Amino acid sequence: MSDSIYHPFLDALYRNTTVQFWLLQIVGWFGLSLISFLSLTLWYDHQGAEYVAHNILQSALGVLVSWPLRSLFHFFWNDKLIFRISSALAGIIGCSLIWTILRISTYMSMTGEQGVWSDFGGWLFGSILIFVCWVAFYHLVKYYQLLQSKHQALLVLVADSQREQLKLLQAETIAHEAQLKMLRYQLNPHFLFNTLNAISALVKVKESSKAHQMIVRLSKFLRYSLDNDPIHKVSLRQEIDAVTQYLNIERTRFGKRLRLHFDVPVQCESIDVPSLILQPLVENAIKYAIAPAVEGGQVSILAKLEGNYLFLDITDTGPGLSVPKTTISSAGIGLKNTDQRLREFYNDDYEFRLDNTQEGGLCVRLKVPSGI
Amino acid sequence: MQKLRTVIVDDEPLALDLLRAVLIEISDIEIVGECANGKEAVEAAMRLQPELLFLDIQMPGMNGFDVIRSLQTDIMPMVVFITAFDQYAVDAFDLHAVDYVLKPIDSERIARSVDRAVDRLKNDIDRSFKSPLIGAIEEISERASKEEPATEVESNLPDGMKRKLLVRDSGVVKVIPFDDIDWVDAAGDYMCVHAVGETHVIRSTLRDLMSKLDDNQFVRIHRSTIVNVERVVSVTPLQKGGSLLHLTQGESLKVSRNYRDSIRKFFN
Repeated sequence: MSDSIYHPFLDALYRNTTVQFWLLQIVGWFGLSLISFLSLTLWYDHQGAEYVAHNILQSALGVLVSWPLRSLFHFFWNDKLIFRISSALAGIIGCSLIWTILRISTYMSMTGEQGVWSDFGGWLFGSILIFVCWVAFYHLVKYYQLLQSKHQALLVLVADSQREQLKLLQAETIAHEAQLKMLRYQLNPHFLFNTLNAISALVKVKESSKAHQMIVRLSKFLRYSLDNDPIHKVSLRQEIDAVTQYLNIERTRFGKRLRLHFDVPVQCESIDVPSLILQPLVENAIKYAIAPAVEGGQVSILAKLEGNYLFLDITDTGPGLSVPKTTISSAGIGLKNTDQRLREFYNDDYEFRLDNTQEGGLCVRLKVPSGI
Repeated sequence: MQKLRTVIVDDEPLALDLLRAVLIEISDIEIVGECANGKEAVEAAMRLQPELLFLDIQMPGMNGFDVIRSLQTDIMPMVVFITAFDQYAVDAFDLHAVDYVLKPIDSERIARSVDRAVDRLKNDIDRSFKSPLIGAIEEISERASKEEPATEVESNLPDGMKRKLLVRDSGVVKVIPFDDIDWVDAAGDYMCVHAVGETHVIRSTLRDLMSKLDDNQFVRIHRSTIVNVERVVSVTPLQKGGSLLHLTQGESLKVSRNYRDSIRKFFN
């Protein structure tokens, strides 16, 4: 193999079997002619030019006579073994006969010797041996090449599957990371530790039923976050329930500072929405409108059905947006995530925008197909 | 021994309940005040002059750090910060040996903080409690904005820029006319410049700043505090010879007995 040192000729030789065939034909036949010169011609003291010429000629004839064998073997290569063996035998016998006749007739005409035909059996025996060797050698080379190419194919296959596996692993990692991010986003550590602190307070001041209620709410909220795959849809009822758990926990924490207002008509409740789509929006409202305000504020969720679309407004009484940012591209990572998720679910058949309310708060507006 | 007069600050009512319930069980503590936000905390610290402050960091309006920045160095109580989750802050507190507890709060941890406070009060004659706090807070804001620490911009200023302080604050150079400065206090390597309701923390020394500010407008009223006398609206005498200055922005500053003469000459 020319792996280490690249050479154009060797490389072509390695790849092109026709070139290999002809090279071996010439080397083999004229090598035979050299052996025959060194043994027979010298032994019988036939040093005349005509003997040498005949020696070379019979090799050339050998090249020509054996040529069709290649096509013959190619033709029967994928056939049953019996056909292949019979064709090989027929080829050997046919070629041997033709080559012997050609050799004897040219020998007689070139050297002028007579009565060589009586030695036909001896010449034929030699020919048969040579063609048996030719056929054996041909198959040897052929099988060697086959083995090599199979080995090569196997290597390519192994490399391919390794690459595939790596790709799969990378894709899995990305999906995993996304899920982790989502989870981390939901399990906001501030929220979690502050809630645990509040529960701890309820236990300390012996408000055990409130503590119990808070633990149940937190568990329900966490279970909803963990159970629901972000790629699934849930009914708006379920989504509102989960957000309510969350907001009730926050209300226990913030006390009077957090006021809630819900208006979700019954006919909207069965409409499917992407799971956990409201959570980040409500969390934003808490983070930017309630937590920083000494007097607190209100978070409201309004739903309505109009035509084939569900409209959802999440409104807060915070400072709103300082610059009109109705485009999501300029918004924070949380809103961008929401936009991306909506696009995955609805392609372009949705609206997601941010408006400042007249009172100065922020209103996040969603419009999605109702599927009804 | 005498109890530590303590003020507790948290915006969540339940968190305040828990803190109170835990502290009541500790005999060294006397809770003298409870606050639900930063503004109340600053007022309570001035009015009640507690020895110990349990201070939540995340609060609406003025957060825990803002409270520290705007409190006068000379009356700064010992502070234990309370935070739910803030890795940067926890690192900075460790570095500057500032005490903190994590939520959900743990009574043993609180007890340890109180023991520490008792020890410090006994041994720390210096009582420069603001320096490590400001150090930690500046470290946190530097990390958050990945900025160099705020510095006073040194240069040979043209005449038009005389009587102005240039402060580099989160990448922006701000011009603060001397007349806008209400008061200044020193905390270790830092100076807190209080001007028009804002506090600018810069790396400088009291002596450096005093040399720039004019003597007939800015007066030293305590070991680490300078006041712009034009901002003073009233003076309340205190027992033991000290007094309280009330400023136009609503803040109050304590004047120590040793410096009462310097202020007396302006109000005779």
